[in-house]
Amino acid sequence: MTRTGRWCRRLVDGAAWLVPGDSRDDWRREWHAEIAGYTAPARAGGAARRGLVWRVLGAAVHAAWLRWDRWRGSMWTYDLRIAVRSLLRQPAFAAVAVATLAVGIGANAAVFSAVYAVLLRPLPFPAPDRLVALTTTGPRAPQVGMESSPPDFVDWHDGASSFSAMAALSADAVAIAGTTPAEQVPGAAVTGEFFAVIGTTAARGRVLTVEDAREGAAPVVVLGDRLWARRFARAPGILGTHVTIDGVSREVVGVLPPGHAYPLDAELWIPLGFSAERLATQRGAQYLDVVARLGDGQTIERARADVATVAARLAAAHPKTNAGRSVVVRPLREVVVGDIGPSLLMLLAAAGLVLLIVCVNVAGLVLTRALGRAHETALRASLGAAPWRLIRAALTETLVLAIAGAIGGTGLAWIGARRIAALEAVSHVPLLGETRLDGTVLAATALAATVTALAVGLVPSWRTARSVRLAGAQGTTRATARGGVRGLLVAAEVALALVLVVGAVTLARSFVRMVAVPRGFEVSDRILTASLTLPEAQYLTPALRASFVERVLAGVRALPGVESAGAVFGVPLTGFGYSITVRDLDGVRQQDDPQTEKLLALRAVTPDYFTTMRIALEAGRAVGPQDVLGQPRVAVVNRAAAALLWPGADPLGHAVTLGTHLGQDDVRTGGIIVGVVDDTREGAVDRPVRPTLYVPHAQDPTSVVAIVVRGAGRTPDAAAVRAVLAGLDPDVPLFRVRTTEQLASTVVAQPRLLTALMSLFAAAALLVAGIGLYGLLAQAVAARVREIGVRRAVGATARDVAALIAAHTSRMVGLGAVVGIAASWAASSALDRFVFGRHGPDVAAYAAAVAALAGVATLAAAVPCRRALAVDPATTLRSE
Amino acid sequence: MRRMSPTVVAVLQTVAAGTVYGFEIIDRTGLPSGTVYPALARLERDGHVRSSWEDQASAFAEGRPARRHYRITAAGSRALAAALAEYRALLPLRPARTRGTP
Repeated sequence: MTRTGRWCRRLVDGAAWLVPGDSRDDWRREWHAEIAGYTAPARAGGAARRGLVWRVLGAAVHAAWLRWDRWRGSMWTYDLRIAVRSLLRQPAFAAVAVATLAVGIGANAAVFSAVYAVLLRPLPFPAPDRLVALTTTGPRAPQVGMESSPPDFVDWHDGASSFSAMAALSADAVAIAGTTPAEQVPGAAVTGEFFAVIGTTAARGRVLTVEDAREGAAPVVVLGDRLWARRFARAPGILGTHVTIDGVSREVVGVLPPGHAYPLDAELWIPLGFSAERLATQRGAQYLDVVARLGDGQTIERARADVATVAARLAAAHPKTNAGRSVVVRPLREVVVGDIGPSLLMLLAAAGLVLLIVCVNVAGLVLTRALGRAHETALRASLGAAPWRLIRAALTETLVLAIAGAIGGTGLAWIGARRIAALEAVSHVPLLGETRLDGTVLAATALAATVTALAVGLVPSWRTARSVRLAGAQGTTRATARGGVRGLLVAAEVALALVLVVGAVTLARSFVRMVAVPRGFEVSDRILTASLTLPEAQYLTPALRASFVERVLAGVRALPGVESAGAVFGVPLTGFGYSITVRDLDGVRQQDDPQTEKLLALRAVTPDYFTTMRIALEAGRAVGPQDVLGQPRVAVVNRAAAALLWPGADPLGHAVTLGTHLGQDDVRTGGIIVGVVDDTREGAVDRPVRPTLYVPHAQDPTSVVAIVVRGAGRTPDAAAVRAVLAGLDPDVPLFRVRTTEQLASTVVAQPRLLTALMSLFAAAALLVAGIGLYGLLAQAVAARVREIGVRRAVGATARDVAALIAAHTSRMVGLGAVVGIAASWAASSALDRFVFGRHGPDVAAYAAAVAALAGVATLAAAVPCRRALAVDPATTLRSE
Repeated sequence: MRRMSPTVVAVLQTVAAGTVYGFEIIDRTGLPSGTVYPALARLERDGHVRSSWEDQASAFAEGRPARRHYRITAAGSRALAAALAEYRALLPLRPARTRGTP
């Protein structure tokens, strides 16, 4: 049999599932025989092959027709046709029901797709559940991304037996230069077993091996698919060529397949090895991430116990650095995703509440219809219709609504998922970019729609059943005007909506508090920050680095529209920077005790840094142009550092030394305190201010710096700054170019996203509750026209009639509000972790939510009220 | 009984010519398989055609599995005659204008 023939048989076998079971075998046999006859040698060649494929596609139509033909005759499709027709007869009702269902289902599907992408979908590596990350905790709390030291890693690697492979990596942005302009790309230096851990093989060439990490091995690099596509246009001859990375020429030995990067944003990988000297001296230098793959038959608990043994041994052998530190083994996903989980789950809960409100609302609408038809139902029942037939007809109608709502909701979710995926870059939620509607999400959506249909259908079915029972007891089927059940449903909607509105307002107020916290420097679009890294191979000496940075700044200052420019090691607002132990305080060597040691964040700054950033000088002087190499070493502290080191005393004239060499081989960082500056809040505002030591960059010239440029009244031109740098050294790229405003908004991006989505859901909830309220009031007024007319005739004023409607409205809204407030109050502790600067219920938020609700209720009641006031008593009486 | 569409009539007419299998009808009528097979299924459901499996031996001789053969029934013949008569009855209804003089 030919390849086409086999393919056609598979298609037929696939389509056979549509064919009704009793004729399926015959159907398959017929098509297989026709295909076999067709592929006989008599008909050969491309045209015949295409003809066969074309014919076999008809098999699917045939199968679908047979299924449809079978369905068409059944009672179920009869119900379906009746349901569709009766819904189309009331298009306004159908449109409102379908639209609200679409919003509820769509919101859930979109949020679930994000939850699935971030928290549930397996990472793109083989057996991803076997991947773990090793981190440490203890008094020397690790800084961001600095979890293990080279000697610790080697001891874990050699000492723990429950892993099949373990690797350390140091993720950092690296400069890649060559034929095209230099650029900075995220990369990672990885130890030999790294690719064995993540289980990725190269799409071209090979991955890095243990051999590549040995001392003296030829320098090599593995490229990620994105980088290969972007910078090398997927050149097939890339293997064996050389690229310059941070000043080192490396041979490209491999390219990874798309979507297999770890860290997720990394674009290139270079080998990481440790010299004997580093292993001997760097026990306390925690700058490595450690990942490992559990061995066959090993559990994470066994691995934990295993690693704890190693850690205890290390603590005993190296008490100075390792005492009190323990190793934490966690699934890799947990480490990748961080603490975004609760926020996403809260959003999912909020979307679930919206769907619940929608269900209650549509149930109310459907119930109104069921009541309107109670007479017909009772008649049909008394004529002998089986009760289950009547209930099935009612359920079919809600099923049609739910299916239409699910289709609309899937469309909305598709748009929503794309919007959410696009938010990864601004919100910094890992894996959010992977948000999409896949089979799992669609299956969950279908499940939600089914549950919705059942929930919505229950009430009218019950009502139908009651009509059937009442049919025996003749009459009494006229719908009651007040509609107790529907009133309760509307109250429930109000209560649920109130919970969401209270939550949204609480978060919004928290967000406002958060951005209102003074940061200690100017947040504006006039200050541009940009990073650059000098290749250490070319800028070997401190003097070379200091003079290069000074030349860059001089060039930038000469640009038109630039007011001032400075440089800093430790980019503001990015969380980047080291915390380093105080070694000497006023000449006194501090004890190496992790319990009492003092940690300072370290910044190396040029003289203009403080004025450019508008960081206020509180005492003494700032770093000056005279503070260069060879001059007495000076430093500036922020208020937090002054309070930490010399509580209650004037810090000026005191001396401090940190336990590090910063860009200089044998000189420890620190000096005489010459000034005190204001505290700056650079990370999340709910974290305490970090005690910070500023040293002159000219005395500690780091190779990594951020330049900060202040424009005269406008944003400085980034391209011009880039040109200045390119003119001095084309191989040094400028990267992470942001204004301080952009940086500050990045820090609050996640709370802002959370607040925005919660507000969206709350608005949707209010809208749906308003629709429900309006629907009920309009119906009630219509049912009471006669009563209102009689009241007007016997002397009731317009005010009395309005009061009647208002009383009816406020009964339902009041009940809902009381329940909603109680529920919000009970749930307020769940919100605490997302709220900045306060705990417990935010009373003002409750007031605002109730006010918003009252506004919506008034709007919803206005139209029915006008209609009630327009009732003409004379007309009413004549019709009596 | 519902009127038969022209495609169903074409399929039935082809079957009336003798014992045939599905792809043969496609070849003769030039209709797509997605039209011919549902038409056959409908005709069989309405009792206008009957299907049977080809003789195993003759199929084996040609080295292929047995095909499903369709044959017209007596009811099918009547329905076909009625349908064709109906179409013929349309012929005299040609608009006068097509004859020539305006």
